[in-house]
Amino acid sequence: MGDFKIGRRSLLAGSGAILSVMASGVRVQAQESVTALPDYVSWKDADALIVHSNSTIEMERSAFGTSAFTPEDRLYVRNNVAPPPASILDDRDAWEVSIDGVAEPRSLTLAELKTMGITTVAMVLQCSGNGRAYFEHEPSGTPWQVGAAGCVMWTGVPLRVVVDALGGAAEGMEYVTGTGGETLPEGLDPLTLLVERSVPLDALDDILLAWELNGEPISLAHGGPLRMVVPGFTGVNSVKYVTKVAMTAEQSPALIQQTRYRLQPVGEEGGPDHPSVWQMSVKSWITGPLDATQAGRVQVTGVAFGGTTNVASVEVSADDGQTWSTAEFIGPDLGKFAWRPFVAQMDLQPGTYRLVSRATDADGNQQPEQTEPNDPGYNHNGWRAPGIEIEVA
Amino acid sequence: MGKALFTQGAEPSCSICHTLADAETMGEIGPNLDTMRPDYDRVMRALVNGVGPMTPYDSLTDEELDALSHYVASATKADNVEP
Repeated sequence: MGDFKIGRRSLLAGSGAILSVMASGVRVQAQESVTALPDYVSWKDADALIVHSNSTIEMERSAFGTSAFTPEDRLYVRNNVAPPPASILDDRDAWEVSIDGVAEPRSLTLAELKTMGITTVAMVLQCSGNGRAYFEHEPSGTPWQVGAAGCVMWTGVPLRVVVDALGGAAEGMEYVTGTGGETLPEGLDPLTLLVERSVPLDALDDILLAWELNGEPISLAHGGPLRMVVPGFTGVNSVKYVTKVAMTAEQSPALIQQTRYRLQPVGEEGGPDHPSVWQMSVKSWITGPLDATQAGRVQVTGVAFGGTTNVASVEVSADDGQTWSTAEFIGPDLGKFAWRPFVAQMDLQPGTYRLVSRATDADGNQQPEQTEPNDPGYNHNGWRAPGIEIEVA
Repeated sequence: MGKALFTQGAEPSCSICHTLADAETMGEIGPNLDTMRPDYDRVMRALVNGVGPMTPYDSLTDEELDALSHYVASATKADNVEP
């Protein structure tokens, strides 16, 4: 299949059907035409969103603004499998999650979880494929640009508290494995569709079993009534409608863990030997201005985050990375898993500019100019491709 | 040939997961193709490489992949129905 696959890719690359060329020479797939919001997200702000499909909905770049957090009605949506029926929200407190791989495994209701502890974590929720449109090899999947990300506040009980209450993790466990409650169709091996993700046990101290998003009960679209939230990891690892959380010795046998969401080289199929898509890396992008603006003092804004550690600094360039200016963070610091909006005040004369930003995290990791390609187009964090060309009059 | 592959020939059947009015299928697991309107290239990429939980259709021949991609793009009136 490998040769055929490469041959087919070459064939596809020649079509140029929905490609445009940016000023930098980076090829970006155009967005599909906007269609109506699906029923389960009909309450969202349609003007702020791009509907790629009923299960892939992106926030418009113009909707980021300068807020430290993202309203739920603008937050992107990505469901690998269609959500369960909305009736699962009828009695939220009755929702049950089984906790396994601990000394005293048992099921707990959401009502019980609420008595065990409570905390709130601000974190960047970002789809693994955010920025896929910027890879030049045209990966399969939704051509997200920057809008499959938001910074939101989750409230719930720390998983560590729950595990400790049940006697602690069993001996020899290396992963935390969450299982989603999606309804799977007959006629397929359940493991091909089961949404079950494993993350290293090291993440246990950060994970929440969350029931609120931005202070409200979590909507169906975002995983209510209960979501296993893994700060610092890409969105797929935060399992929606979580029905089971297990400390496990091995990673889940589900295909979404074994072969999907892997960082295999271009042209190869994913497998357990390729790195899993887990932690996010340092990243930033410009949020304004996005089109023509007046000459003089221009407030160039954006967002930046470190992934699993604080973002330390951001630089902005108006000449596509030839020269850089240091930006200032604005608004409150909501912690290492959150993003920081930033601004660079630039004096721009009439002309054409290409705005880019480049962030550095607290460990000294800086965004690369380009991300090393991987076949499925995950974890893009290059600084050049997401740049914005503006006209200053 | 494309329609037959969509409803029966491909294994597993596309109809299990996808809604497509022309094929009279109502699957709700994957994207609704009538609203997504994927063009030929996008269908082909999904079939050859997989996408999300959808695994590659390695058993289909080049001719079958071409027919299925053309059919889905045509049935949903996508902007581009040819490679």
